[in-house]
Amino acid sequence: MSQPILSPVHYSPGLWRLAAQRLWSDAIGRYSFLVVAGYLLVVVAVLFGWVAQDWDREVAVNYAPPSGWVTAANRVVVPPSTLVVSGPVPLYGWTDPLEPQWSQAQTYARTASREAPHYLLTLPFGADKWGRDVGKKLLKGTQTSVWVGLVSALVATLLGTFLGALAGYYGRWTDDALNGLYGVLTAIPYLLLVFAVAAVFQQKGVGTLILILGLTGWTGVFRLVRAEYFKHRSREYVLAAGALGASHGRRIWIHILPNVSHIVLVQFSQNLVGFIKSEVILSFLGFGVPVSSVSWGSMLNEAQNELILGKWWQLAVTAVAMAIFVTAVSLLTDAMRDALDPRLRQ
Amino acid sequence: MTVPLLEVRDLRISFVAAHDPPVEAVRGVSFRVPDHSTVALVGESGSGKSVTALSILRLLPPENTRIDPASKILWEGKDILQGNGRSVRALRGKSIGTIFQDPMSALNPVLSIGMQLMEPLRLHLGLSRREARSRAVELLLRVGIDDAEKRLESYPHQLSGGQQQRVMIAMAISTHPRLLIADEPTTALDVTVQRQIMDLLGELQQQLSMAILFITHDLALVGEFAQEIVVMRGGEVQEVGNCSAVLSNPHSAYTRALLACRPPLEDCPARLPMMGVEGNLIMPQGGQRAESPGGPPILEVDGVSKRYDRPGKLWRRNFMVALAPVSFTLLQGKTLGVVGESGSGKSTLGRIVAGILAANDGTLRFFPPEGKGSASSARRVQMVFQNPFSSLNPRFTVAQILTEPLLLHSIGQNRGERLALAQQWLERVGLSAQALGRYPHEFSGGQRQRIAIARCLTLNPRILICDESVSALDVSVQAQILNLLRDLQDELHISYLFISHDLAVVRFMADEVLVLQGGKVVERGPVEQIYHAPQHPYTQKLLQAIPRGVKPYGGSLV
Repeated sequence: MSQPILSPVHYSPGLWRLAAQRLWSDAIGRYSFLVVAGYLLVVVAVLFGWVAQDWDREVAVNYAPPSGWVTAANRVVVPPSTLVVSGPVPLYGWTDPLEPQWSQAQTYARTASREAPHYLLTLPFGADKWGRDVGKKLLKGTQTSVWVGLVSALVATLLGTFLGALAGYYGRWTDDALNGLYGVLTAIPYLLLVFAVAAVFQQKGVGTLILILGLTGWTGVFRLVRAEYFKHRSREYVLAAGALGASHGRRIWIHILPNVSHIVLVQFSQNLVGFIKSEVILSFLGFGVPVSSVSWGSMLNEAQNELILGKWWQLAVTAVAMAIFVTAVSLLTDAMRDALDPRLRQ
Repeated sequence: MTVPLLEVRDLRISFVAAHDPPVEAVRGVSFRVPDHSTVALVGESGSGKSVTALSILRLLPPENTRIDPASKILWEGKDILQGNGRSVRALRGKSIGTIFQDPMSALNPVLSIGMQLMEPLRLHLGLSRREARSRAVELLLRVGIDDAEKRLESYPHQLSGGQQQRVMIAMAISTHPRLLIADEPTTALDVTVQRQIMDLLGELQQQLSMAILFITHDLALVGEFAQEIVVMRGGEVQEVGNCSAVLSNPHSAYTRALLACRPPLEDCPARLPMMGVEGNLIMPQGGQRAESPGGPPILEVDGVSKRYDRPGKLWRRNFMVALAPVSFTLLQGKTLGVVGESGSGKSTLGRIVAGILAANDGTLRFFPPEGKGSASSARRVQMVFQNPFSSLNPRFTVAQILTEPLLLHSIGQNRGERLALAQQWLERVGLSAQALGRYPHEFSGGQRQRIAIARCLTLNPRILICDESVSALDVSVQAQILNLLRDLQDELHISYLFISHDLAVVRFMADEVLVLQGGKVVERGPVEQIYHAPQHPYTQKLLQAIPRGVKPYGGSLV
């Protein structure tokens, strides 16, 4: 067969490019996108260790209040002698089980006493009970919370899309079985379910949190994607693909998926907001991140005791950061829904 | 001169979108509807006929439509466009009744027929419940629904399409309107039902002496039914006048082209006249279709049948026979037409042959038989679907749409080769290579159908199944696609299984015809015999129901 010369073809902008243009031309969409992008930048920076690696260092006196600029005048030097205990403790013939740790602590105390630590009296965002910088804690907390939200939303969306596509496309017993699973999961009160899964995992940590949220949160995506596949599977373009010889898998993932992907994206960002809130609730209740880490939820948890003492800054800073992010993501979701609505096309 | 019942004067309507410049859909339309007369508003899609009708009722969404302030719609001399909401509502339903195209979506599915019928009676005429009920029964009897008392309790889905449209008519005439606006009232219905509905409308017009504004794309129907005709194109009036005068001696080139594009029932030309870009007429080459003996058989269908399980009582299986055993032979390079009304099983037959649906019994034998070296059945049989708006994946570019089948059957070594093949077929169906980079929504219905045909052709099929493939298209586009299919058949010797409810289109395409009724073949034979000497009463009934308001032209065309 003679091969004709391909003339250069101009490709029309696809759905995603058009949607991005529409999103950018909408003021709310643009600003909320910039805000969310800023937060994501923080997440990346903390993940790669560019900022806030020393968030758990004791840099100020406890509950140092927030104030504008840190100058040399507001440093305080702590006298070293208070840290060292002198003389052996009588043990009545027993060997001290803590001997190695104790001597190590003694050595540390002695070396520390040589370069006397100085603590700040104020910080831009204040300090917490242990003199840690709330500003850096916030950066680290933001990273933890947003990261947990992002990854668990990804897990939930992928799971929900996968199961929803199978249930909606194949129908019959596949649908019945998956619907049964869906029914069981949604019949249990949400927090109770989350606690149950948390109890099964038996360990605290970011990975556990992601699994808990991802495994329990896919139901909403499942329901919507299933309905969409149900609608699309009998459309003529899918029948046509079948008549051309496309396998079921190809029809599901190559032909139909691009037609429902806008719904999946909107569900993803809705889940993101929901999971960040869930993470905060779980950490607040003590099921979330371990003590060695920090998240918005654990910061709010600490803040409830501080508030009684009148130390308001950790609460204020965390609440504002969280409110801005959640609002921005919600607005972005709305703007994306408008930008991606296929009814606006044509 | 007396004041006409309705007069539209220099109507201009534009649609406004958020970011785009406004689009003028109706550009200076003027016509009048005298009392007791029938005026037909005729045009293809995008001609602005439905927009005009909706603006009379002021039903256009105000947030994205602008009606030019100089436009006037006069109801007995009073401008409807100036009136307030209350006066318009009083007019709607009371003085002006409306019937829409799709009765199923115009009726509320969760309210009984009786409820829906009685509502306007109580609202506009202030009747009591009992009075309204007896009037409703009377109305149902009047539109030809038997057992009216019982039917009041029925819900819309329990009625057939024709009965639903009768209920819509009953509703529209319930308040004795002086004008009935009928927007494509029979387009969604079968030919025989269309005939009944049109007869009913004619009768009611006589009895109630109302005027009818009849909106349609079907000139043949207009010729039988209307006195005045307004031909519209692109938001402008092309021609206004007495119906029979316009149809027998059209002045506008567009009307002439529109009349000529429709396949004739009487004879069978080799190609159809087509409409040019300007609405002018392009006459085809060649006269009548030449008879050819046809090639060897390419497909033998033997006793193929299909039944669906119905959810019945436990232990008792309940079947719905969609297709009783059907047998036929398809010859190479020939066309078998399949005609029948909705529910006749013609689409089921097409889908079984296409391999989308599995038959319960019977065999399909392809020649030469499937085996090593010969193409699989998926490659031999391809299908062109009815709706070009839904049969192309909206998220695929045309390049993806056309290379997908090549990819699936590993034709072509690489992407470049496949694209070259796709481009070849695209040009063969009359589109430029530039189309490769676009998405389906950037094309018109006719162009999309060309893309769908090109997609089938990429696999070099021996049989093409056309399931109502031109039914969703405008008459002028229909002619182009039909001619294209003919060209392709002459060139590639493909066989067609051409399924349609439209007898004129089948007359043009087919060499042999199967007539299906309720899943059974009632008659089969060469096309000439079926159309000129139908044997079975059902075939006769179908042929009689075709509207023949337009006389075929002689040589006055050029």
